Amino acid sequence: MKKITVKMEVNGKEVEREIDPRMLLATFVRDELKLTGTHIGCDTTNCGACTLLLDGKAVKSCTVLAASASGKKVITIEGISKDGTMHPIQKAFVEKHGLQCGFCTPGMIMTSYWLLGKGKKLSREEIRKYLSGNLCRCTGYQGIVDSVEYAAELMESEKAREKARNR
Amino acid sequence: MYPPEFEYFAPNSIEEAVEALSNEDAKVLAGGQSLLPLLKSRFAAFGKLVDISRIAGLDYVKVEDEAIRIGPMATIASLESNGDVQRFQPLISEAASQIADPLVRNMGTIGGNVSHSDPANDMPPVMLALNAKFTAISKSGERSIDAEKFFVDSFQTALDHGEILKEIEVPVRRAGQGYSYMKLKKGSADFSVAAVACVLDVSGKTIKRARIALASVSSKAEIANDACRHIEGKEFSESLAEEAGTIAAKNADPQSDSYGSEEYKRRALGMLVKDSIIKAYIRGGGSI
Ligand SMILES: Cc1cc2nc3c(=O)[nH]c(=O)nc-3n(C[C@H](O)[C@H](O)[C@H](O)COP(=O)(O)OP(=O)(O)OC[C@H]3O[C@@H](n4cnc5c(N)ncnc54)[C@H](O)[C@@H]3O)c2cc1C
Ligand code: FES
Ligand code: FES
Repeated sequence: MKKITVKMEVNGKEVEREIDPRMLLATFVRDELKLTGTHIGCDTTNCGACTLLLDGKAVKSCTVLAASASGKKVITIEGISKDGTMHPIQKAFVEKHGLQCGFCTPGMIMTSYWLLGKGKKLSREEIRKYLSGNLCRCTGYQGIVDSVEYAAELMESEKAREKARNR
Repeated sequence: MYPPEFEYFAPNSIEEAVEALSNEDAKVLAGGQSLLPLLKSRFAAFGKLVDISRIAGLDYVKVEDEAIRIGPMATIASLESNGDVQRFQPLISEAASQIADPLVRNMGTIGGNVSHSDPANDMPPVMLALNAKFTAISKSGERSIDAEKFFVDSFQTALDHGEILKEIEVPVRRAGQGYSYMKLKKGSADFSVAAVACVLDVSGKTIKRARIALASVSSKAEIANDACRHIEGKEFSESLAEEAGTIAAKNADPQSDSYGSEEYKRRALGMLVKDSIIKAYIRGGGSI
């Protein structure tokens, strides 16, 4: 089959590759870009382990063609920490036991990253609803919801600190 | 997993798209949330995918006088949160918020949801309950199709090969019109056991007009005609709503599967119809 050229911005960097048009975005970031933080769990749109941000929205990358993402902006789990410092959501997952085996974690964190980026205050119930496309077979979810709640607090106080600094 | 091989084409205009679709083996790709899983599991194969997501301006929501016009590429997530939809036709946002999970809703489109026409899809009964009108475009021009003619059978719509669903038009909610979308499902990625879209025109205590449409309990989404007729022109009561539920459950044709037995599905449907009538009646201004 004829190859096609895709170009996109991944974690702030322009990338360009020749690919088979049927390559999925999850495979593209893992195999072509070696960003293996994005996990493939079910490969059938059920588990959310492959979640990343496409033009600012959390999507299941096992169910998006890399071709369709051409020209767009992608953020993967590797793109949210800065200069080796974990993002507050990552810190929160560590502190509040948001993971056990860690397989679902990149997806959980990317959905949370999208969700908390909206800047709305969320109840535990709302957090659960937003995470309903991400499955975890280890934690029982309690620790994950705790982590997202705590992450929201951390991000809030980080924002306040930044504001104070800029004053 | 890889889908079977295909040629990929992402046109910038709808004219180019319909031209490309004159190829017998070509298929529209919208959000891919139904089509890509089908291809990956090799239930389907197409020689060419025509990705319409790069055609600008197909994801609008416009409110004009008495109607809302929706572009086929409006995502389910956008319809869930769009202020105009919430205000002028809240049945659509209520149903949207119950589709799949937030990640699937970020990609999946209303055009794909109705064109796919899975008997378990949630937008088809909503479109039936609202008497939606669909505009289809092909190389030979445009035509309009009523919702009742659009849903033909399982995974089959009135769209011909080579036609693209270009616009969906629904009337805005009238004064005294109550609505409700209710469904029973198990896990977030599961399809419903049964689902009910209900629109009632209420005046005082009387249900003047009823449009109740069902999903998951037949080979396609359909209007529960007998149940509607049973309550129309009558004064509301809880037992009337329950009777309508019983009628809808009796007429439905659910199949036993991993989501439940035929009998379980009928009972679930009866309850959903009853509850959705009550909710729609109250929202239409009726008092109990
Ligand atoms: C895990 C999971 C759970 C789900 N749960 C639900 C649920 O609870 N309720 C529900 O309703 N749906 C559910 N879905 C399905 C999904 O919401 C819809 O089917 C999806 O929105 C379809 O839209 P799409 O843009 O992704 O279409 P695609 O997958 O791109 O296309 C679907 C079909 O429609 C055709 N098509 C698309 N757009 C057009 C157009 N404009 N003109 C002509 N043909 C077109 C395509 O050719 C294809 O045949 C679920 C999906 C997944 C993966
Ligand atoms: S790997 Fe994509 S949803 Fe499971
Ligand atoms: S921590 Fe193991 S799957 Fe979630």
